[in-house]
Amino acid sequence: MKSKNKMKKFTPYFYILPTFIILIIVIVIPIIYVIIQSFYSTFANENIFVGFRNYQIAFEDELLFIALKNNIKLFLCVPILTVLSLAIASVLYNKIKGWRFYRSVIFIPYILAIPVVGIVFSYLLQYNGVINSILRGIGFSDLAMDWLGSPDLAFPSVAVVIMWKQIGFGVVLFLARMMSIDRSLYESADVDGATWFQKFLHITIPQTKSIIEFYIIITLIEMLSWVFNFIYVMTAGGPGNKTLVLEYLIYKKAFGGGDFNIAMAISVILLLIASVLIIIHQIVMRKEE
Amino acid sequence: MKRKRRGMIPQLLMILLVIVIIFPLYFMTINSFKTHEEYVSNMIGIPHTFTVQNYIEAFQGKPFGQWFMNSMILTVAAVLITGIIALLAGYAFAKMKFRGSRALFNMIVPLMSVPPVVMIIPQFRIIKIFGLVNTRVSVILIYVGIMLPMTIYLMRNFMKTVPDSLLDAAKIDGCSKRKALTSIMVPLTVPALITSSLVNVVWVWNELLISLVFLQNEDLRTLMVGITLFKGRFTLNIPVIMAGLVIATVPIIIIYIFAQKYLVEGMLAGSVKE
Repeated sequence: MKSKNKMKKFTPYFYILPTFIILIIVIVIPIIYVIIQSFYSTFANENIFVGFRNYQIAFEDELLFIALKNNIKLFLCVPILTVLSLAIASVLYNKIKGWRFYRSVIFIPYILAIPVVGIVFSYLLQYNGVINSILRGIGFSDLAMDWLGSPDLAFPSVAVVIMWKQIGFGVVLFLARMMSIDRSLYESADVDGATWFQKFLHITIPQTKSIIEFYIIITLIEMLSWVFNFIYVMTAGGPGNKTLVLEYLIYKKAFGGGDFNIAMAISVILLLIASVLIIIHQIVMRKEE
Repeated sequence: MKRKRRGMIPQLLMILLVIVIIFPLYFMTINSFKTHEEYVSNMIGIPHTFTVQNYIEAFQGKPFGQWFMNSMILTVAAVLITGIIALLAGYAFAKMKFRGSRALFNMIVPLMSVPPVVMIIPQFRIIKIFGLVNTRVSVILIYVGIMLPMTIYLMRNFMKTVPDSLLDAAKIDGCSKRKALTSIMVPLTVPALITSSLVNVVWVWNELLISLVFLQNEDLRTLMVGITLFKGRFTLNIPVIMAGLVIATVPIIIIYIFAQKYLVEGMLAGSVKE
């Protein structure tokens, strides 16, 4: 009987054991390894402690700053996405004819594979591509440009493609929350003769505030940690590193150049920035709970 | 009159938006049925001579079918394993009282936002030690690890909504905890399992970075890596590329058509506490 009780005490730990074994192998050890190895360097097959040398080398390379700057520029997509999603969601919230259909269609890009999206857009945006032939067709020949190939346009073009893919998530997220707002709030505002914009500002926004916070922080994390695929497929960081981001820089240093330890130093930098966002995310999440 | 105009403007805006969303998909699909010659002269219009030759070509002599199968195998295996492991952990975190439960759960949740690229080099070295370079097992293991935090989070939150009284009733009937898990929790958690698995299926199917790095062997390549290379190799025959993209997209669209509610719900719940 006693041993049975003892067994019972351990059962929950058996249930979570597989999870922890896998997470330790796949995530925890790699993170610790990256942090430690970022202070080492390999010379003639020997691992030598070099202190902050890898970081020093990383910071002397202007590529790091270019990549950092581009990630920060990508953060600018977040307010645009937030405002656009809110606007579209509030249009759909009024249950205009066909709103379910619109909602379904707007969500589609979000589930598509980034390689598919990236390849299709690289054909659309080519100099001899469709976008330009449409522009020429309607008489705007001057606007026809090499969208992904020109140094000034490549980054904004990639950003637009990322937003095209992400917009649906925000719309559906905000719409779901708006639907749970008490209708009577709007009804009494109608009685008071409030305009659409007043209702949006004084009812919709405050009622969806917590979800907006979530959305902003999640999207910031995405713009930092999950944009590798877009860059890999569409521009490979080019032209002239104009679309380089931290993730791609790490990949390039490691698998393109074989500078594994420097790649790991840059990984730690990325990890530090990500941690700040993750901590904010956790705080926002707890607050809600 | 005023009312009517107010209804018109949102409709026009939404129709415009739908065109912007659909156009790239239309472009991809329509051109996959054209000959290359027709593509060059007619990029936007519907094909004059409808051909499925591009699909035949995509499969013929090229390892396209193999890539498709590889993606299937990885997706099914990784999603199933994740589901089972997350179900156990989710149950423990939601329904069992044990020391450190809260702290352990709180340690798992933030792991879902760690950038995958950061872990690639050490993962590669660990896998080398195990002698698993260029094997499906290695990639499945990494996929499971990356998907677990979000899946456990979903499972646990869902199981929390199942009232304890149901479980207590089962216990009085003399069920052991394991029996309680199978006879009561499993039927009740099937929706959570479906929801999180659908999200996971879409994620694994679309994943590029890990399969790119860990499966360099041509025979093991996934569809996403395949089409990315495909693009470089077939730049002269764009309709064939488009056919490849359509094939890669169809499974996801089928899931979306038949299980939209679950998939969307899972994607929202995975990132946000409801």
